[in-house]
Amino acid sequence: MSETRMPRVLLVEDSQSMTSIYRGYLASAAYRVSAVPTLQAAREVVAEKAVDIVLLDVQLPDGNGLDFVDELLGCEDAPDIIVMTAYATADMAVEAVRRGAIDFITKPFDATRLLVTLDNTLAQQKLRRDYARLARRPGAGFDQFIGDSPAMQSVYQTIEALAASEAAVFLVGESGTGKELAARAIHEHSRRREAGFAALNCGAMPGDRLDQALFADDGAARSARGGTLFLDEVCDLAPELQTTLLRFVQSGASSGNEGAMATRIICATNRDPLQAVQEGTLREDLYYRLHVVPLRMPPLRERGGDIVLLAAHYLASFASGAGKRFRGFSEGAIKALQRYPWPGNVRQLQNVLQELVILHDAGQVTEAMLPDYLQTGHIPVETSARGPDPAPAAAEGQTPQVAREIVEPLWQVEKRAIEHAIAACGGNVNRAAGLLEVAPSTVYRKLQAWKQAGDA
Amino acid sequence: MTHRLPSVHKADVCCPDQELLARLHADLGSAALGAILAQGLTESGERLDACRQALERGDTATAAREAHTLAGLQRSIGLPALGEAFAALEQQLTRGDRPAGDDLDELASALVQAHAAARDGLPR
Repeated sequence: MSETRMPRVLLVEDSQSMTSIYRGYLASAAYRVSAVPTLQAAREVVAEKAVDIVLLDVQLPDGNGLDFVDELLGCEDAPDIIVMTAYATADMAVEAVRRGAIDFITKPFDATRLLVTLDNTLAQQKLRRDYARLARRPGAGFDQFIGDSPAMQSVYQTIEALAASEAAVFLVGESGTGKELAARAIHEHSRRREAGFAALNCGAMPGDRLDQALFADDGAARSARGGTLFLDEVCDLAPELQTTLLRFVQSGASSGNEGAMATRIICATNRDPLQAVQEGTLREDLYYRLHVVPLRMPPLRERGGDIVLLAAHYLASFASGAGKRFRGFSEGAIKALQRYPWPGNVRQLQNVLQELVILHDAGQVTEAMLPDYLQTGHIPVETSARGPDPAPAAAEGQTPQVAREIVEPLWQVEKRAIEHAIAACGGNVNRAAGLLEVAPSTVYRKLQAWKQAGDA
Repeated sequence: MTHRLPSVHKADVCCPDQELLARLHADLGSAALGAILAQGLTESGERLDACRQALERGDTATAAREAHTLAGLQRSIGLPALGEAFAALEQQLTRGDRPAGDDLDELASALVQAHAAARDGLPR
């Protein structure tokens, strides 16, 4: 869709009077509205014209609107569908969203409600288009990276410059920021790309096994000969292996056979390497050998709009792989994603979306589907890459104070999720229940119970 | 099997929801809302006839769908109580029960009165 074209809304509603009301609501809005009374006529319009949003009634003379949701979403470039449900049919609304409708609107509704729903849907479409455009545009992403924030543009430029040079590179950044991806990108854009790339996590195995993995005949150093050897968590390397590595770097042992290119070494750490030198855990001479050109990978919280682009990318990828219907995020979900500091960075975002796609199936990701800590903004201890280590395991039979502070009783988590959903739905319990994927009676029962317990 | 609908108390069902009407008026303006109310009355009459004809040929599914649309239409034009009366008819038809002929006559009469009340209630 071009940026300047007025978005087209197809209204599928068999009542002429209600059609007149909705047309009236949209008369002065920036939407081009077509209206048809049957599913068959809707099929014809969708086939002939570029429709952006379908406002779909459920009970129609020639069939059920929910079946039409399945039919339409099976087509390529399907428009987004907003289902119009009758009063007190929350189950129908939930079913519509489960089948892939992007939203629902309960009759009777006023002009403001209709316009907000349409505008939100349009905003999601714009996000998807932006993502697709950025994914195609050179410079918007780089190699396997997604994102065009200033912080990442600077990373891409540095990677390109480093790929053209022979300098040793030291990548620094929190866990999950893409240090290995950067190392691979440097390798792939360098003249070494035909030779091997070998990656080894120095913090993941004991010294003797690491020695084998690194220097054995079939080890990483040999696999990467003439190519690139990536050593992650190099600050965790045992002292004796640091000596061997220093010798490897200094003596030219990293060179290949005569005439072949020397192996390039790229190191990475999620710690401050200079501090590791000061603490005596990293040899100073090795540090100066390896730390020729530093490249800092920015944490996700410094990457601005990249969060939404990355989320859209992973959602599309996981949903496609799992055959789920997700097409976008609700406004609330986007705000929650942007609000959260992402201590586990891109990897955490990826994990959150993968889990979400496994557990849910709907047209859009709502805030209620996100993990509780994303809704509250609290950082769970196990995902914090910056904070102090979690408290050591308590002695058997004891509950550490930190656990008491972090772990909430399940009923409190549930209560907060329900209250949050109701507030997000402007007090509409039926809609909140729909988004929470429970029966409205369940929500009412729990509210009543909390009220009786004096906890409402 | 013929069942009587819960009594259609005309005084209640004919009463428009002034708040809803005021909102419609604000959203649509006097001229458009007046035209929609007139259109709504015509359409409702036609749908009630269609409902009656469907019942005569034993097609309760079509009759129930017409009742469903009638309920939604009345609620959308500021007549929620009349909408509830049609929703009760829909439920009865969905259960497979036939309404008494008098009930449809009463609903037809309530329709005319309710729409007149809605028109009269519009700001001038």
